[in-house]
Amino acid sequence: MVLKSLTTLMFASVLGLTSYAQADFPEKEVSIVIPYGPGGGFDLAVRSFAPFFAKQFGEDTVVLPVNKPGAGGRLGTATLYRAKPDGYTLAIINLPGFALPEILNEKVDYDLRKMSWIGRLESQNYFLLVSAKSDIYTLEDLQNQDKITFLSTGYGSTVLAAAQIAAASLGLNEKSPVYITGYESTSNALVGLVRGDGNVAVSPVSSSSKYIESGDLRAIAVSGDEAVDDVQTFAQLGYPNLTQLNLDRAIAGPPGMAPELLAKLRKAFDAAVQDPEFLAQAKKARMDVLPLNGEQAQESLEDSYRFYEQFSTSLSNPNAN
Amino acid sequence: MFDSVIAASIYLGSFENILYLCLGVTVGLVFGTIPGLGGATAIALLLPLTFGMEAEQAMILMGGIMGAVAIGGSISAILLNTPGTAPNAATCFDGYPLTQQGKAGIAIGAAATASALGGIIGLGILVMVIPVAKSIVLLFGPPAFFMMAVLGLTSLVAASDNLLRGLIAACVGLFVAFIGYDEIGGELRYTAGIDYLWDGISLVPILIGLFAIAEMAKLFVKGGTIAQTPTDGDLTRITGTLDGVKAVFKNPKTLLAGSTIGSLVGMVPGVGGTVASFMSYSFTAQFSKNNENFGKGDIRGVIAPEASNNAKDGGSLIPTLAFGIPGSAEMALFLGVLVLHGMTPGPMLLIEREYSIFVLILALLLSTIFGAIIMLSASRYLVKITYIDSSILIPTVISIAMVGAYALHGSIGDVFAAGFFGLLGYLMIRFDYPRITFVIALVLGSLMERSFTQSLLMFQGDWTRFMTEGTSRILFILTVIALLVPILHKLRKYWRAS
Amino acid sequence: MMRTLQFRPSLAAALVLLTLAVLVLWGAMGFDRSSAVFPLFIGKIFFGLALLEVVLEVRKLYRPDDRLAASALDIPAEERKSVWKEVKAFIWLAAFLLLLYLVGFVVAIALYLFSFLRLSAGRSVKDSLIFTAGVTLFVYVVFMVLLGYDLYGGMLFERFAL
Repeated sequence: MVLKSLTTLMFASVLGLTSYAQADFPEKEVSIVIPYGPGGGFDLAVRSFAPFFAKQFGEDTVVLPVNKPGAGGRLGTATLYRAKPDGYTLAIINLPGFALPEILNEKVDYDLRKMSWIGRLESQNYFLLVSAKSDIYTLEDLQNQDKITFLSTGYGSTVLAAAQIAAASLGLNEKSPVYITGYESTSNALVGLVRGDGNVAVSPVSSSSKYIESGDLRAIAVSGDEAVDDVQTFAQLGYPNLTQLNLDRAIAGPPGMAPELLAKLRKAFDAAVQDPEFLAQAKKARMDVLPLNGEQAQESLEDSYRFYEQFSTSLSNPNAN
Repeated sequence: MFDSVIAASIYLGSFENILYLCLGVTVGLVFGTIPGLGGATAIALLLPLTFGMEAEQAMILMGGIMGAVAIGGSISAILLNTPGTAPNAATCFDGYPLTQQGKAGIAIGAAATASALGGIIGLGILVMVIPVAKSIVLLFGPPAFFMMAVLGLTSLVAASDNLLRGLIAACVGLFVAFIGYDEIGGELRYTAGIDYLWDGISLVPILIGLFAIAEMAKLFVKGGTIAQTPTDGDLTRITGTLDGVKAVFKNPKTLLAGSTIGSLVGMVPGVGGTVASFMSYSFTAQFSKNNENFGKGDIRGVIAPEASNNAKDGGSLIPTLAFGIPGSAEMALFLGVLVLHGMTPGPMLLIEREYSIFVLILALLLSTIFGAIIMLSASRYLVKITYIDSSILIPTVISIAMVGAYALHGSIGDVFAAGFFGLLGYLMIRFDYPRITFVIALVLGSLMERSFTQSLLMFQGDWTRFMTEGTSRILFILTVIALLVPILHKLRKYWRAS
Repeated sequence: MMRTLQFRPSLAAALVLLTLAVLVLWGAMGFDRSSAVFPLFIGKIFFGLALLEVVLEVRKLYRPDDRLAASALDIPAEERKSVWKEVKAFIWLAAFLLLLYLVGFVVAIALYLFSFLRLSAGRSVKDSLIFTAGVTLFVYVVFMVLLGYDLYGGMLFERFAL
């Protein structure tokens, strides 16, 4: 009798303690790991978002952005994967960027599909760009060029993958396109395009719009479902399989998070993302907030895998042999 | 444009903003002085602070930091033979010998003044060039970058007494640059499976090891204090500083050369301040009259690189502002600040936000001047460091240097790297292999390889186009000249001797 | 006739460099074509230069009437003493690095400073304590408090604490 009540008491207190702990989450500061150095798009996204996320948990909560750059983002992601799923370590993930290594058959220290997805923050589509001085105005013009030279960042980057996928889908591979890779950032590649190092590039909308505004570059197509200004989508132009080309920024926790904890984080995420003050700040920082909740983010990830795996034969390094 | 300048000046005049400026300057000086911490770290730390500020206030803070960092860095370069930031490396070559001769005051005075004036000249060039900023950035493509890197490498020739050993050291430097993931070929090179080496070894821990640690090891073996020749009385030290200041005015050509090279090279994104200061040093060492004393305490060897590394701030704003292409880690972070405050760098920025840009320029101007004044006043006390007994100095410097190495990326690997390069640096001193050429090759290695490969892709394998295309051709000719001149010099000496 | 070969440290250095050149060249040959271009090119130059240096050093061995060779002769005793000092310098460094790794910055710096001041410099306990306290406090205050850095806490603590 005594033993039974003792046991019950023990169970109750343990249960009580766990739910107590979860009910009181967060008790200390929450870190959001940024797998890049300070100052980039992901860094700014987290810094803009963090205070509003924190607000959802109460006045005293601190959500701390932590930069962990290295190995093109793999270091930060691996850190997240190995962290304790207690909700105190989260990270911002580049999709499909961090999925690419796996798709390209490289060894990685994490499995994105196992992460606990909290929500997608931003999503960006890609423009297909040419120099404003060139005489390429339509996809057909591009297909009729004798020499096609893509400019992009290095092997393993989403921009290069996007370029290769575009080339494959648009039938450009018959012209043996040259890929000048190794530009240090998308901006460098775009300036190269203005300069004439090559004649075509693929780039996320936000990185390239200023060049279009200033009249240096011209966009001849865009991915996604909606036309932008007078730039039509790939689907409208007859290439619907390029619609899915995009760049997402999503927040995730380590694998194996308790369902109640994950639900709590997701709820806070959904609320923060709709906070008008956050949206104002995001607008100021030129973020493309297009939120998806945790479950939808996970589905979107699976879709990406399927999409990119279709093209896996086109994605090998064009400059290695 | 002028009303923007006036409006910007009035804005800066407010008490609150001057405070921000002073904060920036102080942080910049301190971070510059401690080897390993630099402008990039300072900006990264203060970035969250700028969240609630107006864009222009953030500009003032950042301008304050950027203008003062290189000045702070020259102090450790001169007194401890350790560059506070990478661009200060060239200042060590003549600054430290001066310290060893007990003339640290002169070196500091010259460095501060050259920095201030160089910064002013650099900003002047920036303002003149803003209207054509875009065209300038567009002039430099991969072929030009490659030629620029080669031109930078020719400064090796001037930098080494023993040419063979200098070149060997450069080769080792190049291979250290190759370590890591090759973005174009997609290969991991020379990493032996160590994760830390994936991104290659950062420059800062290498510099800390090669210079700070190695010097401390040397001091340990030798014993005593850094400054060998004792000066007599305090007076000498004060006038030392004034002499240094005057020396800058007595060498206007050196000042101008350093500033112009710094400014121009700074405009080429990716090449950066380190290369600019080496090129200024090398150019001055080769083309000045009576240049036998370079490397042994010629004051012009301090003036040129210091002018250059402040002038480059003006220059490197051009690609950053015009296209959002940062020329250095500092600029990359600065870009982040800009974007955060809704100022998207791009061709439109210089037109739309002229006012904010001028606030930045004025902040840079003032910060260089303030920084120089502070350094000049503190000179007397700073010089005393060189008379501290080595047994105290050595462990202290090593401790702080290691903190600096760690602080860069929060990686303990950097600390071990610094230790390793400390050993290497000491061995290089011992066996008389110049560290300078190693560093130059290291800094230029990646740029050189990347632009070479890209250029070949552009030229479809046709080498000769390096010599026929636009900017690349001009730089090629300059390189040939840079190689021929020292040879001609030596020939002339033989002639005269016979 | 062949002289007794003096041990010339600079010859040893040149040989090490030559070996290094061979190693990096060998490594480069395993890379994919594009990644190998530059390493191979520079590697061959490196090899050539290192070989030249070795040859020059060997020539100096065979020139006993050369000033350089002669000065190598009257160093031995001095050299031996300073070699030991050099080794000591790096033992201190290695110990410090090991300490850093194990117990983190603040503790390591304190221990290192104190032992160095006492053992290597022979300072009094009082002096050593004062300097150690001063510098450690400086590092702690400036870096951890003012700048908010998370200075490495050391393997031992991170394993077992928390």
